[in-house]
Amino acid sequence: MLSSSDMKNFIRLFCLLILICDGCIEPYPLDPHTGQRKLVVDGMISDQPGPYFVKLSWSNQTEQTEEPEVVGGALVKIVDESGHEEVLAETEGVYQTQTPGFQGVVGKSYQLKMTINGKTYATDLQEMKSAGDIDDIIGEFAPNTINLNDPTQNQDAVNILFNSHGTANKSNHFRWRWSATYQFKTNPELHVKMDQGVLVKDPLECSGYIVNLDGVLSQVRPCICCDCYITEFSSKAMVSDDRISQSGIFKRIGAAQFPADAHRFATRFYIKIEQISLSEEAYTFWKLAQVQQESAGNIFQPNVVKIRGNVKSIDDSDEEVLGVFSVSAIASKAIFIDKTVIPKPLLPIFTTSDCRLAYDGASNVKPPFW
Amino acid sequence: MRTQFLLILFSIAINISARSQDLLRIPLGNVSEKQPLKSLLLKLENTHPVKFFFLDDWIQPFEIDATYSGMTLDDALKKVLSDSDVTFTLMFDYAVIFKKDPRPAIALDNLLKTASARRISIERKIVGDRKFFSPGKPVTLRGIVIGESDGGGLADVSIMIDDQRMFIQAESTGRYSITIPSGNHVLTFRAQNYSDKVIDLSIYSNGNLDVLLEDSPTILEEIVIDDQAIVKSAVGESRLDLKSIKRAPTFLGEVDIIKQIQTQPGVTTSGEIATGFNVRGGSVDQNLVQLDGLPLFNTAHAFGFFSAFNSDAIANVSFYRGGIPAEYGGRTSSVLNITSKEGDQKKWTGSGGIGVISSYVTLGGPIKRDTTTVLASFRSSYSNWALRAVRSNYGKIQNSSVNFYDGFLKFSHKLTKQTKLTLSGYSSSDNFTLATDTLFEWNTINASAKVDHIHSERLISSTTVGYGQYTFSLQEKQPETAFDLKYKIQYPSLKFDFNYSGKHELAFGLHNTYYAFHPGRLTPQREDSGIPNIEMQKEKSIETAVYISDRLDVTEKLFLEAGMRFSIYNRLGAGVVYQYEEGKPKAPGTVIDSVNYVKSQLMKTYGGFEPRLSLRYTLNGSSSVKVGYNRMLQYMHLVTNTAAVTPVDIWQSSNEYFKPQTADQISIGYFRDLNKSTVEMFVEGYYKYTQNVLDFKDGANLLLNKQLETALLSGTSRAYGVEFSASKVKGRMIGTMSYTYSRTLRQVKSVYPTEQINEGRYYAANNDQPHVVNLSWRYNISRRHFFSGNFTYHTGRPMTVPLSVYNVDGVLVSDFSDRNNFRIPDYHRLDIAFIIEGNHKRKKLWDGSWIISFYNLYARKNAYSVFYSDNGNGRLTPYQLTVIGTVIPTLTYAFKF
Repeated sequence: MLSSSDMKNFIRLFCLLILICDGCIEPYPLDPHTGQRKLVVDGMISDQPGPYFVKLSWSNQTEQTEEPEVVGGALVKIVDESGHEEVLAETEGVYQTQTPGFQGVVGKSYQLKMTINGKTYATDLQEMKSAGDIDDIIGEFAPNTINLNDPTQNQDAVNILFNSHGTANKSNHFRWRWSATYQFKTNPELHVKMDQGVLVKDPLECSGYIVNLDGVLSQVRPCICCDCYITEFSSKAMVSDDRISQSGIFKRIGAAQFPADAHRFATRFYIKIEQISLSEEAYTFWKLAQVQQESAGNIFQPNVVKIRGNVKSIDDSDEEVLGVFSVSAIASKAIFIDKTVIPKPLLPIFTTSDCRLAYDGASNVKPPFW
Repeated sequence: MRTQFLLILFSIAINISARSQDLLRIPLGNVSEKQPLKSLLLKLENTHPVKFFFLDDWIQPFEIDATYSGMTLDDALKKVLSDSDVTFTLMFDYAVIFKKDPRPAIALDNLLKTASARRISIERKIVGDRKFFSPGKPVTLRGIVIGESDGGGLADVSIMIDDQRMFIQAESTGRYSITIPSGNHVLTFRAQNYSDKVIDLSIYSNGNLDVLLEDSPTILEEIVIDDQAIVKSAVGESRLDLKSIKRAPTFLGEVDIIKQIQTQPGVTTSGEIATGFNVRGGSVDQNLVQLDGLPLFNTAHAFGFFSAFNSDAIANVSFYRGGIPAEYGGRTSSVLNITSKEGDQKKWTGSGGIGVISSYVTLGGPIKRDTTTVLASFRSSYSNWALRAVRSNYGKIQNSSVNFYDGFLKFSHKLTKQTKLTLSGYSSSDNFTLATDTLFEWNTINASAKVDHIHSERLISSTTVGYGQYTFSLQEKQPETAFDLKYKIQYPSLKFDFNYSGKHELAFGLHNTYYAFHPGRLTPQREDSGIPNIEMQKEKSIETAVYISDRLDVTEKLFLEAGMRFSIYNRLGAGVVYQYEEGKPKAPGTVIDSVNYVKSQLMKTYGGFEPRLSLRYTLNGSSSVKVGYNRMLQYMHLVTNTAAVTPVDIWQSSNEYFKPQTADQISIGYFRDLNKSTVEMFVEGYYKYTQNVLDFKDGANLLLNKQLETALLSGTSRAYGVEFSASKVKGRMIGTMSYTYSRTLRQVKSVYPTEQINEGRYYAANNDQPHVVNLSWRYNISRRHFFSGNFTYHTGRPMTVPLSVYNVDGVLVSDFSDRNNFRIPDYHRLDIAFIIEGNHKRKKLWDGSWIISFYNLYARKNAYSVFYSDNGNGRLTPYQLTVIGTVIPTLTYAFKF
C-alpha cells in the first residue's frame, strides 16, 4: 500500500520535472510480436457446491481485443488424491463437472489432468486449504480520494474494507475477490416525445403506463423497466501479504473503492467479499498478477513480471502453459451499505429510459439476496 | 646577459704549422695547488710565446689541480674541457683560441623565446654557486611542485628538460628529482589545469627548487598536457580537463562532471536522468565516487538531471575504468576521484555563474598568506519559476516546489613547514514538495579532517578522519494517509596513507570505514491512517583494508605498477537472520527459524585479496602497449528493480545471503601518438567477470522488506568490449571520436525455477548497450570565441515486452517475453555551444564569459523508457517516456574575479 502510493507521488513529481523539459509520454508502436500463442487454463475446484468450470483458450496478441479462440475437444479431468477421476464435459471451450454432488473437501488434494490434441498436461496434486473466515466488512466515506475522468479534481469515494482471519501458523495464502450489486431507478413512464413541435407524453411500454384519452398517465401493468440491478466484479488480482500472513489476522484490508455517486448509492449497496485459499503455486501466480497490475503505468516500470502458472506440459517441458487451476476453499461475507454512509446529499439522477438499457449489465431481475 | 654566450666565433680553417703544434707541447710543469684554469693560462702567457683568447665566462668554471702536473698543455686542456661544450683551436703560431659550441645555447634560447611568445611565465633560477661550476658534472635537482590554488603538492606533473631531450614525471605528491649535467637548462613544468612554468635554470651543484604553478588563466590557449599523452597514462585511466568541461555544451547551463564522464569510452548511461553511469558493463552502484577521500552515495540533483557538484570548486577529477590502483577499493567497476579546490595562498579570488536553473559562486583566498587559506562555494536553484511557467492541467503543479543546493567549504592551514591540516566539508540537498502535501528530501553531508606530514624528503603521510551521511526522507501530509519514511546511511572513516618515493614509488596504507545503514522507518502520522508502523533493523558493518602498491620503471621502456589490497568486512549485530526450509526457494512462507544476534555481535565476515597490476611497455617514443588486471570486492549493493537508479533505491550491506560482489577485469590496450602528438589514438579491450551480482526477482517488493533475500537473486555477469578512440589534441580544432562495442550479460541460475531468470540462460543486463559512438569537438574561432559540440549515439537499452494477454477469473494477465529480450529505440543526440570569453588580460579585475548552449539540437524524442499502462480495459499498452523532447537553448553567464 505504501510502496504504490509513494511511488505514485514520486512519479507525479518526476513527471512534473520532465514537463519542464517538454518531455512527454506517448504511445509507443511496438512491432507486433508473432509470439507463439499459448494454452490458457482458467479453472477452479472449491469446497462450495458445484459444478466447477475449467475454461481453455489460446492467448491473444496484446493488441487483439476480440474474444480469445477457445480450445475444444479436450479431455479434462479433475483427479483427487485417491485417484478418483471426474471427467468434465465441454460446451464451447468451457468444461464443466457432471456428477451431481461432486464437491471439493478441505484437506483433500486434487489435480487437473488434460489431453489436448494428443498432448497431456497436468498440475501437481494441491491440497485444499482452509479459507478461514471474513469477520466483517466496513463501508467508509472517504472524501476527495478518487480520480475518475477529471484528473484535476478529486472526488468522494466509499472505501470497502474488511477484517478477516485464517489459521494461525499456517501459510494463509488467500486471494480476495468481490462482487457489488446496487439498485437504481428510472422513470420510463415519464418519457416524452416531440409531436409536431409539441412535447407529448410517451410512456415506454415496459413502464406499464398508458396515457388516457384525457391525457392522464395511468398504470395498467407492473413496471418491468423501472427498477434495475447492476452487479460489478473485481477485475484486480488481490492476495494476502505474505509478510503478515503468518499471524493469520488481516485487519482493515482495503478491498475496493467506489465513487460516492447517486448512481451506485441511490438506495443501498450490496457488497460480497470472498476469501479464497490458494496453494503455494497458485498464490505465486496471483501475487505476480497483482504486482503486474500495480506496476502498470509506472514509468520506472521495468518491474516486469513473468508469470508462471501451475499447469505443466507433460510431454514438452519447454512449452509454457498460462493460467492457473486453483484448489480452493472459499469463505464469504456480504453486507448492505446504506446510502447514508455518504454524509452529504447526492443529486438524484433522473432518467426516463428503460433501466435495462441505461447501463451495461443492468438487469430487472431482483437478485435473491435483495 | 645571455647574449654573451651566443657570441659566435668563426672557426677558420687553417693549416696548423709545425710551430703551432709546438704550442700544444708546452709543459705545464708542476701544478702545486688547485687554481682556476684562467690563472694557469695567464701564467703560461708570461712564460711562453703563447696567447690565449677566451671569454672569462667560458673558462671560469674550469680548474686545474695537482693531478695535471707534468702534462702537456694539449692533454691538460683536453682533460679539463672534456664533457663541456668548450673546445679550443690553434691559430697562427702563437694563439690558442677557445670556442664554445653555440648550438645548445641557441636551442635553449629558442625555447625561451617560444615560451615567451606563448606568454608562458618564465623564471630565472640559479642553483648553487657558479664558483663551484664543474661543467658536465651530473648534479641533482630536487623539489616539490605546488599548485597555486590548493597550495599542496601537485599530482601528475611532467617536467620537460630542454627541448624534448629528457622528459620525466614528478611523483604523485608533486616531488621530483632530476639528475642533469651542471650548466644551463630550460625546464618546463606542466600539470593539468595549471599554466606551464618555464624555468631558465643555471645549476652548478645539487640543490633544491620548489616550483609554484599558477592556475591556468583564460589567457592561454588550451594547454596540451604532454604527460597526459595517452602513451604515458595507465591502462583504463583518464583525467578530465576541467576547462574543457566548461567549454562543452551543457544541459540547462549546468556544467556537469558526471555528464562528461558519460562521454568517456566504455561508459554508458541509461539516459538524461540517470543518477549515475555504467562503466564497462558494471551497474551504477559499482562506481566509487569519492570526494576528498570519502565515498558518496548520491551524486545527483533532481533525480539525476544535474550532478551535485559545483565544478568551480573542483580542483581535480581522475577516472579509472581499468587498472585501478590498490589505494581504491570497495566498488567493482570504476573510480571517480574528485578533489575539491583549496583557497589561493596569495590572493583572494572568486568565480561564479548565473544559469537558468541555478546560480553558483565560489570565493577563496588566504586568511594568512602562505599559511592559512579558505575556500567556500555555494550553488542553489532558484525558487520555482520554471515549474510555475509550465502550463498544465494538473492543478497541483502551482503548489509544488523543487529546490536544491550544494556547497563546499575547505580550510587549509600549515601547522609547521612539514605539516598541513585540511578541513573539508561538502553538503548537498534536494527538497521537493508536491502540492504541499508530499515532501521529498535528499541530503548528503561529507566532512573530513586531513593531516599531511612530510617525514622526510621521501616519505609523506596523510591521516584522514571523515564522516559521511546520506539521508532520504518522504513525508506524506495528507491526513488520511500521513506517514514519514526515513532512510539513512552514516559512515565515519579513518584512513592512513603513506607515500614513499625513490626508485620505487611506494604507496601503502590502512583504510577503515564503519557503516550504519538505517534501511527505513515508516511512521504513520495518524492512528487510523491504515499505514503500518515499520522499523527496519539497522545494519552495521565495518570494512577494513590494507594496501600496498609499487610504481616502478623496470627498464627504460617498461613501467610497472603492482599492488595488493586486502579487505575484510564484518557485519555486526543487532540483527536477525532468517533460516529457510531446505529444498524450497526462499520465500516469506518458507521461513523455518530465525537467529537473533545482539548488538555488536559478529554476524558474518567476508574478505579477500585484491591484486592489481598495470604494465606499460613503450614500443617507441610514440606508441605503447598497456596491460591491466584488477580484482575488486564490493560489500555494499544498491538494490533496484527499475532500469534507471532512483534516489529511493536502497543500499544493502552484505550479509549471510548477499555475498560480496567480486569482479576480475583484464584489459589490454595499444596507444599511439601521431603527427608529433597532435593526434592520440588508442584501442583497448577488456573482459570482466563479476560474481554475486544481484538482480530482482519477478514481482519483488524491495522497499521496507525485512527478508530481501526472498526478493533478490544472485548471479554472475560477464562483460567484454573493445574501445576505439582518436583525439586531436592540439590546434584550433580539437576533438575526440570514440566507438565502443561491448556486451554485458548476466546469468541467474538455480535449481528452483522461480529463482532463475530466463531459465538460467545468459541475458542482456539492463545497461547492455552494444554500440556507443561519441564525437566531441571544440573549434577556437578566435582566442575568445569557441564553438563546441558533441554527438552521442547508443543502442537502446534492453526491455521486456508483453507478448500476449489472457483472462483468468475476470482478471486480465499479460504474458511477458523473457527478461530484456527486446530493446527500446536507439538513442542519439547532438548538442552545440558557443562560448564567448572575456578579454584575456591577466590582471583585470573581472573576467566574464557567456555560454550559449543548445541541448538536443535536432529535438529528437529519445525514449528514456518504455513502460506499459492499463489502457482502461485491463490490457497493457506500451508507452514511451521521453524526458527531453525538444531542443533546449540556454544562456549562461560565468564570471571570475
